[in-house]
Amino acid sequence: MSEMVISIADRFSKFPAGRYMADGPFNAERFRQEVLLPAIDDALTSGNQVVVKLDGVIGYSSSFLEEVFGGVVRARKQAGDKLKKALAIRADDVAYSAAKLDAERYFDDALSRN
Amino acid sequence: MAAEYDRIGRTRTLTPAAIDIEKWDSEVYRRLHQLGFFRLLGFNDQGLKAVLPDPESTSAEYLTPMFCGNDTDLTESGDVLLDLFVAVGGDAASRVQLLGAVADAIENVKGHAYEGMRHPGIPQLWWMSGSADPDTRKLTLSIYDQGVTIPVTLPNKWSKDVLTSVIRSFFDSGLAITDPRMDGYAVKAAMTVSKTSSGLEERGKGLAKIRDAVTDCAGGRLRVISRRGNYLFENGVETVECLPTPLHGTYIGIEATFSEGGGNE
Repeated sequence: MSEMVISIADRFSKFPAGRYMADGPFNAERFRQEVLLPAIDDALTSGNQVVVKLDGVIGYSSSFLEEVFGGVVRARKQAGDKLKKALAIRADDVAYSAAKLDAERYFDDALSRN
Repeated sequence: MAAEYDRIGRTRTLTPAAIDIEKWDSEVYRRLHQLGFFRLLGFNDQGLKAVLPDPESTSAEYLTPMFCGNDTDLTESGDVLLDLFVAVGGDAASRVQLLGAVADAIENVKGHAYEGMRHPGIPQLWWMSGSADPDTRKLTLSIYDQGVTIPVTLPNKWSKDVLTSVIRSFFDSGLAITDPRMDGYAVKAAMTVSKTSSGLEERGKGLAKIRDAVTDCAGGRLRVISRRGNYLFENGVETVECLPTPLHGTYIGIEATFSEGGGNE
C-alpha cells in the first residue's frame, strides 16, 4: 500500500477558514471537493492511503476540520469503514497535535453516525 | 471607534471627520494612528506625514492595522497575526490554538452575527486588530462585528428547553433569556451550550473552542461584550455583568502572555 500525502498548507492554503463555499475562498467544502475527495476515490479504488498533513497552517477552526473530516464520511457514506483505511491524518509538529485529535474525533464521530 | 468610522465611510457619501486632533491624548492618538484610523478620514500616505506627526511613545507595544472583511478569508491578515506571535515569542502550539480561535470567531460572524439583519447602513462586516508588547510578551487579539448580538441569536440557535435548563443551572432569576438584563448570562449560556453540543455534529462549537484555546494559555483571558452582556473568562473563572450602555454588536478580546521560553506563563 502506498501513501499519497496532501499538505493542506502546500496544496490549499496556509489560511483555511470557513465551512461552506459561500463562507470564503479557502473553505472546508472546497478543500474536500477539489482536493481530498478525488484522492480518496482513487485510494478507495487502488487500495492506497491518503495522508492529510495538518502542519504549516496558521490555525484550524472547528468548523473547517469538521466539514473536511466529518464531511468526507458524509460524502462517501457507501464506503463505510473502508474510509478508515483510505484516510490518515498526520501532524509532524506537536503544535498541531490538538488539531489532529479534533480532526480524528470528527472523522470517527461521522463514521459512528454513518 | 475606528470600526464605526469605517462603517460610516462605507455607507455614506461624506468622509467622517475628527476635530482638534492636536488636543487628543497622545496614547489614544498613537493607537488610532497604528490602526489606520486617519486613513479612514481621507489622509493618504503623503498627506498623513505632512499634516500629522509620527506618534511618540515610551512603550514598545504596537498595534496591527485594522483589518476588515465580509467572509472568512484570512489571507491578508494571517501573516500580520503571525508577526505578533513572533514579536512576543509565542510558542507554536499556542499560536495554532489561538489563531484557530480567531478563525472560529470570524466564522461565527459570517454564519450567525447578521442573521435576519437587512439594513443598508449596516454592511455585514467584521473588524479585527491585534497588539503585541515585546517587553511584557503580551499579545491581544480583538474582533468586532455590528451584528444582532449573541443574546438575540441565541434563541434562534438553541431550543428554549436547552437554554432554560442552562440558565437555571446559573440561577433562577425569572427573567427571559432575551431580556437585556440577562445579556451577560446569555453570553455565558452561549459558551455553555456550544461546549456541550456534542450531539450536534456540525455546528455551534465556535465560542467554546475560543474559550478552550484561552484556557490552554496560562496567561489567557477572554472578554466577550455583546449588547449589554459583559463576559470575562480569566484564570478559569467566569464573571458576567450587565453594562449600562449596550454595545451595538459583539466584541471578542483574546489575551495571552508568554514566558521567555516561548510558552505561556
